[in-house]
Amino acid sequence: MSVTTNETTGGRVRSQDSALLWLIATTMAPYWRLLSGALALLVGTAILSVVPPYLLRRAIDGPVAAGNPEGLWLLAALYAGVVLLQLVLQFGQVYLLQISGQRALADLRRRLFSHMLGQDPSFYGRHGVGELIQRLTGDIDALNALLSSSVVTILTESVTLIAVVVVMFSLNWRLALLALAVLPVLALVTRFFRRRIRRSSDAERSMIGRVGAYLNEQLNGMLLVQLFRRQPVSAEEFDKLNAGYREALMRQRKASALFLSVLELITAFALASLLYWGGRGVLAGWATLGTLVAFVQLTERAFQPVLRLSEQYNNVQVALASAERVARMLETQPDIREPAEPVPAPSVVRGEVVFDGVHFAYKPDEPVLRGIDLRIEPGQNVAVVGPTGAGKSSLAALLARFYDPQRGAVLLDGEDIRNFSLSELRKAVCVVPQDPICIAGTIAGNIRLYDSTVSDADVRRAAELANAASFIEEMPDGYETEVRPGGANLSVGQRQLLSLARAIALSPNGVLVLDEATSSIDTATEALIQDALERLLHGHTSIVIAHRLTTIRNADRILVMERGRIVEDGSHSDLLLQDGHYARLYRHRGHASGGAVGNAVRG
Amino acid sequence: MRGSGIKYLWPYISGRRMWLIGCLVYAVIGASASAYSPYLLGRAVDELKGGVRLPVLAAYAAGLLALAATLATFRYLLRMLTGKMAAAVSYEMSRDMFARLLVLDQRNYAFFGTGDLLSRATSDFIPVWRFFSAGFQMMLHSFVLLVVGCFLMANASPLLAVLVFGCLVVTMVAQLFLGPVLERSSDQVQRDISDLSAFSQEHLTTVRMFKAYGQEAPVADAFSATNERYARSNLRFMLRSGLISPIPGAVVRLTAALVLAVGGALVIRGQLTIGQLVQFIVYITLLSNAAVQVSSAFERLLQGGAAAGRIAEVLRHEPHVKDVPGASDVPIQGAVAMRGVSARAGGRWALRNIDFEVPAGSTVGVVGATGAGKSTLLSLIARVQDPYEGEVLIDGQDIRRIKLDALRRSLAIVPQETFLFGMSLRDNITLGLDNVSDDEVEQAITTARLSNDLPQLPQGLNTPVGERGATLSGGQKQRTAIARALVRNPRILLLDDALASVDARTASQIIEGLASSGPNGRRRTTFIVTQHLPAVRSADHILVLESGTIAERGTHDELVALGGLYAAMHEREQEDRRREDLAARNIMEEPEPEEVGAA
Repeated sequence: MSVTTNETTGGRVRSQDSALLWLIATTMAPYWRLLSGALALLVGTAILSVVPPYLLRRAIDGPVAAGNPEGLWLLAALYAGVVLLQLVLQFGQVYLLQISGQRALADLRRRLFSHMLGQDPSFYGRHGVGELIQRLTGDIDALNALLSSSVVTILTESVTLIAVVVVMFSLNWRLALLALAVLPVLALVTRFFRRRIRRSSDAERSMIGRVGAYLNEQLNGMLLVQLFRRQPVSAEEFDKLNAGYREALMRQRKASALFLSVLELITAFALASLLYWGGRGVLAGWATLGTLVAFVQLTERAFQPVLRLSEQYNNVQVALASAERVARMLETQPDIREPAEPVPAPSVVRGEVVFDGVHFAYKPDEPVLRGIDLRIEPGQNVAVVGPTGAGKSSLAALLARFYDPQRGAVLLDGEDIRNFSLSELRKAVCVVPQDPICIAGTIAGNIRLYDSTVSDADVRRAAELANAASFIEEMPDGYETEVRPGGANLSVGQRQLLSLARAIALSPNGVLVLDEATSSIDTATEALIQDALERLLHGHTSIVIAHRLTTIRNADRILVMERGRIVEDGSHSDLLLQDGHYARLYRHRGHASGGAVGNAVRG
Repeated sequence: MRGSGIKYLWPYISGRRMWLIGCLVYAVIGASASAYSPYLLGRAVDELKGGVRLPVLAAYAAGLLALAATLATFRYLLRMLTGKMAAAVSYEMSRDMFARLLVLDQRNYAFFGTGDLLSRATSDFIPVWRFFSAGFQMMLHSFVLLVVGCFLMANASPLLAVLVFGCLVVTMVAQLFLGPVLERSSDQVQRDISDLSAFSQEHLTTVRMFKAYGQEAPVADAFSATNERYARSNLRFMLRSGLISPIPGAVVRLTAALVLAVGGALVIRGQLTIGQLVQFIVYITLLSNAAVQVSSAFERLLQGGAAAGRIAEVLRHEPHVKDVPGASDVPIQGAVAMRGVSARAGGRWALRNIDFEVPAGSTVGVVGATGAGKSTLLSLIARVQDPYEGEVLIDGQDIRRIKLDALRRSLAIVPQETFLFGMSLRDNITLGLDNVSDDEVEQAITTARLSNDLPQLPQGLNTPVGERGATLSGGQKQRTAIARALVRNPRILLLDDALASVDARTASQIIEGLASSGPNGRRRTTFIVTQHLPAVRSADHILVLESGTIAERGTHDELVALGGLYAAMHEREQEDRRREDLAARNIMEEPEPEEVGAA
C-alpha cells in the first residue's frame, strides 16, 4: 500500500484522505485474510520473475562454458520449474484477490444503495439519478480496476524493480550502476511524454464528443435540414468538425509515436553501453559473459516497471477520485432521522392530524409555509386548493415526514410525528403520489410492491376496491401481466387506478394524503377513479390536494392556500358565501379551457 | 459474417498506392533493423568470447545504436504514415457518411432508426481508425519482423528455429482462441451491469413511492439480487482473464528454458556458438511479442471490417425521394392537387384514393380525428415521401418532375413537433437562408406573434435557445417554428397542427396575420391541419378526413349545413363551451351577472 500513498501525496486534500482510508479499510476488513494471502503470493511472483536471468548467467558461465551437459539440464529444469511455480502462484493470487475483492465491492455497492434509499427527498434534488447510478456503477468499477489492476501492477512492478536492483548489484555492481543510470532519464522522458499524450487524447475525446453531439442534433432535426435546404451549411459545419477531429487524431498519434520511438532509442542506448562497458569488463576480467547476457535481460526487466508505474499514476488518480466521491456520499446524513427512542404508533390510527404553528422552507430565505395552524378531526375529508407554489404539496410532504418543519410541529393522534419510527409513521400516513408510478414487473407486483405480507387475495381485494380489477382481468395474463418500465403498456388512467389499489393494499387504515393528478383522462376511467376515491375516502381522515371539481365539492372541508398560508377554511357553500379567494377561483375557471381549478389558477 | 465489410475500405485506400508502398518500405527497413539487432548482439558476444580489440567492440555497440536509430526513425515514419492514412480514410468515410445522411429520406431513417444511424456515424468509426492506424502498422511491422527473424534463426540453427517457431504458433493460436472466450464472458458482465443500472434507475427515480410505503429494506434486498448476479459474472470474468492472460507469457518462458537446454547442449557439442544462443534467447521475447501483435492486429482487422460493413450499408442506401433526370426548375405558383393518391405508413393505408384540387392562393383546412391521415397528406405535398399510388400535382405538374430544391425553395412547413437547433433564435428562424434582412425577420416574428416575447429573452433575437430550444416555453418554440416558415415567404405554407401549444387568442391572431401577409401582396396557398375548428372557419376549402379518405369537403358553412361529420364535431365543440359556462354558473349558486357575462 505504501506505493499508493506515495503516489498520491502530491497536494491532495488531507481531511478527505482519512475518509478515503476509512472507506477502503471498512470495505476490505472482512476479507483481510484472503487479501493478505493474495499479497504474499503477489510478492512471491514478482521475486520469482528475476530468477530466470540469474539462472541463464549460471548456465552460460558454468555448464556451457565448462562443457557439462548434466549441470545444464539441471539448470534448464530449474528454469522451467521457476516459470511453472510462478504461474501457479499467480493463479493463486488472482483467485484469492478476486474472490475477496469482488465480494468486498459487492458489499460496498449494496451499502451505498441502502444509504441512498435512506436519504431525504432533498438529497435526490441535489443529486440527479444519473449521478447516483454513476456512483453505483462507474465509480465502484473504478475501485474494481484500482484493486485488480492498479494495485496489482504497482505492487508487482515495485517488488520486481527492487528484486532486479538487488540481483544486479549482487551480480556486478559496476554493470548495475551502468544499467540503472538510464532509469532516471527513462522516468523523466516518460513523465514528459505521458503528459503530452494525456493532453492530446483528452483533446481527441472532447472532439469526439463534439462530433457526436453535432450529429445527434442534426440527425434528429434532419427533416428540417432537408425541407429548409440547409444541407450545404450543415455539410460545411460537419466538414469543419470532421477535419478538426482528423487533426486531433493526428496530434495524438504524433505524441505517442514520438514517445515510442524515443523509448526504443533509450533502450538501445542502455543495451549498447552495456555491451561496450560490459565487454570491456569481460576483456578486463571483472565481468563474465554470462553476467553480461543476464544484464541484457535484467535491464529490460528494470525498464518495464518504470513504464508501467507511470501508466498507473493517472489510473490511481481517477480511481481515488471515484473512491472519494463514494466516501463523501456515504458521509451524507439525512436530516430526517429515526428518533432515538420511538414511541410505538397506535395500532389503530384514529386519524387526528394537527399542524401546530408550522413554518417550513426548502431554502432558508424562501419560506414555503408561513405559520400553519390546523386541526383535522378523525375521519374528516379535507380538500386543499390554491395556486402552484402555495405550499399544498409541502403540507402533504410534512405529514409523511419527507421533511421536518423549521418551526412548529405536526401531530398525529396527539403525538409529534418525529417521535414515531419512520416505517410505522409511513404505514399510518399513506401518500399517494401525484404522477402514478409503475415499475417493471407484474401487475400484482405493482400493487404490493416488495411487501411480502400482502397476499394475492389482498391484492385482488385492493384492486376491486380501487375499480382496477375489471381492466386487470381483461389483460392477457390478468394479475401476472408484465408491466413495461414506466408502465408504458398502461394508460394514464389505468396507472392511476393501480396507484389507488396500491394505497389500499399497503396502507389500509392510514391517514390518506392524495395529490390528485392533473393529466387528462378519458371520461369512463375518470368516472371509475371518482367512484373509487369516494369509497376510499369514506371513513378515513384524508387530505386531498384537489384539482377535480367533484373531489372538491364532496370534501367535508376546503382549505384555500396562498403563499404559504391558509387563507380560507370551510365547506364549499361557506366559502362561496364568503366571496373570497375560493369564489374567485371558480369565476376564473370560466376563462380557461381545462376543467380543473388548479389549472385555472395556473393559466 | 465478421469482417465482411473489409472490401468497402478498399476504395478509400486504392487511390493512395504510393502511401501503401511507403508503408511497406518503412516497415521492411524498420523491422529488419529490429530483427538484425539480436543477431548483432550474438556476434558481439562471440567476438568477446574470442577476445576482441576495443575498437571492434565499440563498433558493435555503435552498430546496435545505429540499428536502433534506424528502427526508431522508420517505425516513427510508419506510425505517422499509417496514422495519416487512417485519419484520411476515416475523414473521407465520415464525410461521405454525412453527405449520405443529408440525402436519405424519412423512410430510410425509419428503416435504420435514428439512434442506429447515429451509432454508425460515430462509434463505428472508432474501429475503422483503430485498424488503419495501430492495427495496420502492427500487422506490417510484426509480419516483416517475424519473416526476417525466422530467416536469421533458421540460418543459425534450424533445430532451435523450429522450437521457437512452434512457440510462436502456440502463442498466436492461443491468442486467437482465448480472446473470444474472454469476450463472451465480458459481454455477460456488460449485460449484468446494465441490468443493475436499470434497476437502480427505476428504483431511485421512484424512491419516493417506496419511502412513502416504508419499503426501503425490501428494495435494498431486491437490489442485492441484481448486485450478486453482477458480482458473480464479474468474478467469473476476472478469474478467467486472470487465468488465461499469463499463459502466453508462460509458454514463451518455458520455450526459453527449452532453448537454453537444447541450445546449451548444441554449444557444448560445438554446433552452435554461445552468441547464437544469446541471439535465440533474445529472439524468443522479441518475436513472441510480434506474434501477439499480429493476432491482435487480426482481431482489429475483423472489428474494423465489421464496422466498415455497417457504415457501407448506409452509404449504399438510396433515398426513395430524389430528383429524376430532367426534373424542371420553374418558379412555383402554388396550385395543389392530388389524383387518386394513396399512401402507406407502418404497414397500413394512411391515405386511400385522395382527389382534390385547389388553386394557387387558397387557404385549405384539413380536419379529422387522430390518425385520419392529415399529417401524411401534408408530407406528400412537402414531398417528404412519395405516394404509393396516384400523383401529387403542383401547378398541374407531377411533384416528382419538379426539382426537390425548387419545390422546397417555394414551400415551408411548420411540423407538429417543433425542433429547434442549439443556435441563436435568429439562426433558428433563418435556418438554411443567407442574407436575410432584419426587416424580413422582424416581419416574420411579428406575424408569428413572437415579437412580444423578445424583451423577456436576455439577448433578444441573439439569445441561444439551448439544446432543442430548452430555454423557451412550448408556445415560444412553436411560434419560432412559425416565424421560421414565414421568413422564407413561401408560395405554399403547411401548418401541421402548428398552433397546439399556442393559446386560443394568439392562435386566431396568427391565422389572421397569415391571411393578410402574402408574398408581393399576393395570397399564398396555406394548408392548416388542426384539431380546433375555429382555426379553419374562414378557410376557402375544408377537407374532412376519416380513416385515410376524404369524408366531406366544402366551406365551413356548407359543411355545417351538410350535417355530417364536420357538423358533429362543430356541435361538440359548441357543446363543450356551453357546458363550461353552465358549470361555472351552477357552482356560483349566487349568480353575479356581469362576472359570468364576462366569462
